[in-house]
Amino acid sequence: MKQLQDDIRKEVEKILMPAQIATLQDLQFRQMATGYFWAPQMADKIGLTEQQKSQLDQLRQEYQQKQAQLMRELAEKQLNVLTPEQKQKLKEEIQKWMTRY
Amino acid sequence: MDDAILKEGTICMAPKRWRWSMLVVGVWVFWAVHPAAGAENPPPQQQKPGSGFRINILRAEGRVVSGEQNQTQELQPRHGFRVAQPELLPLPGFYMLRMENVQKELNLTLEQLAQLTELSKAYSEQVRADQEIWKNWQQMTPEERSAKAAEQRQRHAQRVQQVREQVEKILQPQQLQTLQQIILRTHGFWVLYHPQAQENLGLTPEQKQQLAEIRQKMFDEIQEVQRKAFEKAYAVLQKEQQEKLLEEVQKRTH
Repeated sequence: MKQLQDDIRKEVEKILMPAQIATLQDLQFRQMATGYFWAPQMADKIGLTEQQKSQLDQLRQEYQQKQAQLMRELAEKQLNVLTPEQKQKLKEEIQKWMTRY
Repeated sequence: MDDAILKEGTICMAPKRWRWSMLVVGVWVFWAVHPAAGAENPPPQQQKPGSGFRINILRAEGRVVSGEQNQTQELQPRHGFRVAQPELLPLPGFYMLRMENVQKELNLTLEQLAQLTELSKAYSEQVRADQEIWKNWQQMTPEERSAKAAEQRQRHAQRVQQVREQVEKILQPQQLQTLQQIILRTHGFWVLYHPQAQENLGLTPEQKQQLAEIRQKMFDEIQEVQRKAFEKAYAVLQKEQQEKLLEEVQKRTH
């Protein structure tokens, strides 16, 4: 598996330009770091003070609220595109997906 | 690597088709890492020209592994939802009941949680017992295996149905309705873009186009929110902490 991943990575690196690879690294860093900011186990590893934890917690809450709001809007807009029959089918599809395993 | 290129104006060079995958990965990472994340909060990311995160500086200082040496992040979500009660095991079709924010939104009582926990334990034991039928799979003929698999599928379907009935008894109608809404807005988001699901729903090309536009617009907005959140949170850290964070991220991606 590891070998396969390495091979794929090498192939991808042949396709992308150095600047694109760098951008990809930045994106990866940001997406990973965003989760880590608020992971309790990370707070100790990074050595956060209580004040920093409090600040980050506040930011997390703001962030979550905004995300949740956006997701609600998205869901609403998506559902408005569907017909009532399709909405019903979507519920069934979701159920199928959720009970697959 | 050209630092000037790294610092400015490179972010939009990431192929568009990758951006959506990154959003998905971002969501999973956030869900997997953060124990109290909401059920409806998927964070993507996109760096805008000029935002110049320290990773660029650190890379320039040789602290970040170069693209040639770096490995891409594993695109597999880790199994670690923010579970409020570890004793509450996954229930088919009702995985979200384990999530802290979902429990909060549903106003689950302690009694309900206890009942759900019991149900989940019983289900888990049944599943474990079901797996016993594969004990001697090496001795089975292909026909026997097919028959066992069919038997297993049937049993699973029955278990799912039983769990559903039990959960519907435990939750209040209003809670069930709220749960359906949560599921629809969280899972519908992903399911709706799956080609097979689109086909099953019988979406017209116009609808697909509309959905794609909505998705793109929302994707950009979510990225912006995530970017700002990242910048603010990153700014809270001291330089040494930022470096430690980078090290931790690198440990996980190599």
